[in-house]
Order: sequence, then C-alpha cells, then structure tokens
Amino acid sequence: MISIKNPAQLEKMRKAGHLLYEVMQKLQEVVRPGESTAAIDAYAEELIRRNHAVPSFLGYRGFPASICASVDDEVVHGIPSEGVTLREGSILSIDCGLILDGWQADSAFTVPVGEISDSLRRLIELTRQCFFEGARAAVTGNRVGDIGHAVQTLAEGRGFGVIRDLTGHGIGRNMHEDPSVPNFGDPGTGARLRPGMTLAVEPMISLGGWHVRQMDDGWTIKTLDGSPCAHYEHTIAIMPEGLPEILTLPGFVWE
Amino acid sequence: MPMKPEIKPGLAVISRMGRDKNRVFVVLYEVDADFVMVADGQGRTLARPKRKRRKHLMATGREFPDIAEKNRNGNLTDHDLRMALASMQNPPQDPA
Repeated sequence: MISIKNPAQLEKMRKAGHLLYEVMQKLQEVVRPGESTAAIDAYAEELIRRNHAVPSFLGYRGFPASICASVDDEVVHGIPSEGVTLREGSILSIDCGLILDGWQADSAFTVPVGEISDSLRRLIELTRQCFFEGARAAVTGNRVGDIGHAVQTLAEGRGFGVIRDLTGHGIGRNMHEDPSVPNFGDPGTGARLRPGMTLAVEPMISLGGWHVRQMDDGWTIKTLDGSPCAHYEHTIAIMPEGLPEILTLPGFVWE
Repeated sequence: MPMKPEIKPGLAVISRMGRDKNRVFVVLYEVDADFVMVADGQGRTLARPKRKRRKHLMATGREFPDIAEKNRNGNLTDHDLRMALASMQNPPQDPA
C-alpha cells in the first residue's frame, strides 16, 4: 500500500534529506586515487552519527556497511572494503541512506576517480540527466510508468543500457515502500502519482547492455557484459501542483 | 538503495531461463519462497500454468491487480491474460 505523507511528515523527510545532502557533499570530497572504499564508508558513518542520525543501510537485510561503494562495472550494492583501493580512471558510485527522527532519505551519485575517459564522463552526465528527466514526469496525475518511460527514452535514445533488475521505490519510515519505480516501462501505466507520495528515483545506466549478475558475496551486482555503470538518485516528494520537490537536493529550483 | 521488485501475483514477468526464455507471463500465485506459477493465456494457459523459479523471472514493472483479483475469485480467463499482456507496448527483450 502506498503511503501519503502529511505536511509534518514531509518536513521531517525534508530535514533527513538535507542532512543526507550534506553528508554526500562531504563524501564526494574524499574520492581520490589511493583511497579505500572502507575509509569512505567509515567517514560516512561518522558524519551521519555525528548529526544524531542513523545509517539506514547498515544491517539492512544484513548489509554490512553504511554506504554502497560500486566501482566501474559494479552497478550497485558494492560492499566497502579495505582491499578495494580506488584507481585513477575509474568511476565510483556511492549510495547512502540515513534515518533522522524516524524518517528516511536515500541518495546516490557516480563520480570520477581522477581523470577519466570522455565516454565515462558522458555516462555519468547522461545518468544524472536521466534522473531529472524521470523526475520531471513525477507530477500529480501522472503514473509511475511515466517516470520509467522518460528515463528509458532518454537513455536508450542515446545508445545506453537501462538496468532493469533493480528499481527505485517508495520511501518514508521504511527504506523500501510501495510503489516500485522501474527505470523503464510504458507511459500511463502503474500507480497514479498523488501529492504526498515520496519516491526514490534512481536510474542505473550502463555503457553497454542491461543484463546483470549477482556476485558470490550475495550483494554486489555487476553488468553481465562488463560495461561500466553509473547511478544517480534522489528522494523526491510529489507536489499538489508542478514539479516534485527534491528532498535530497536542498535549494534546487526547476528551470 | 535500489530494490529488487517482489515477484507477486498480478505482476508481468519475463522468463530468463529455460525454453520459454524471453516470453512474458503473468504471475498467478506463489507456490513457496522459491517458486511461483505463471501463465500467458496461450502457450501456457490457466489449465496448464508453468512453475518457475523466482530467480529465473525478471519483473517488468507492469502490474495487473485486476488479474490477481479475478484469479483469487476464480473467474480469470485465458482471454483476460492475453488482453493484459497485449496491452504492454514494449516488454524488455534480451538482445542476446
């Protein structure tokens, strides 16, 4: 069942989103060649707890860290490790969530590690654009399928692959709530979007195909063809009128 | 953190393994934690649904709650299934 948040609840999610934005900004600053993903994870946990919040990923269904750190062809759910040291020319996707005063926020981005190729730069930028294209479709009266259709049309129109096995989701008191928000689909299908719905829209886009495989650690998802993959995510709130509020991007104004 | 959509009754799914790979079905009901029963109203009718492992199915993002409801009430038909699946414009295909 899809939950509708009232203004007081949305305000709490707004505060959680603003805090997560601050955390993500700081995490971005420590991504550099030679850094381990475990160090970034430890820093994330420290930042979250210092601000009286709780890392939502840690222990979620057994996940062992506060962030997902996914490198190159790792789509999502990469487990931070002392043994994973970032290399020049790679791309790193960081996915992070927190709970503040009982309400969740979820966000992700992909960033270069040092200097990267033009194709990787285009992948990162296109994935970010896919989020905003999908979010533009997230208006009262539209349906969940309109979001995925917008993402898919943009990505596949430019020759990129849209990951299908994992989706965005509703979010609120729980990390994963109804509805599922795929990054593909037919327009005019799925649940109707209503004011007060809060969604995590998160395109995962590859330079090649969309098939994935799960690694033996039970978490890490990689592209089957080894193509690099980027991820971009924000928590959004459907508004009574107009475009959604992006809760994890405070101060953002739609053009 | 993205989620893997739940394979549940009424969901349109694509087979990823077996002779029916790439065919689209609707989940009729759950057998247990590992298996569900699926049908498409033509190759796999309600009289002869297919038992599939959840991990061999990919969610399409299209749900047909009316199909699940009719199945629960015992008045679902193969025609209903065919019409539902025909309404899907672009089911994701395996390019391989």
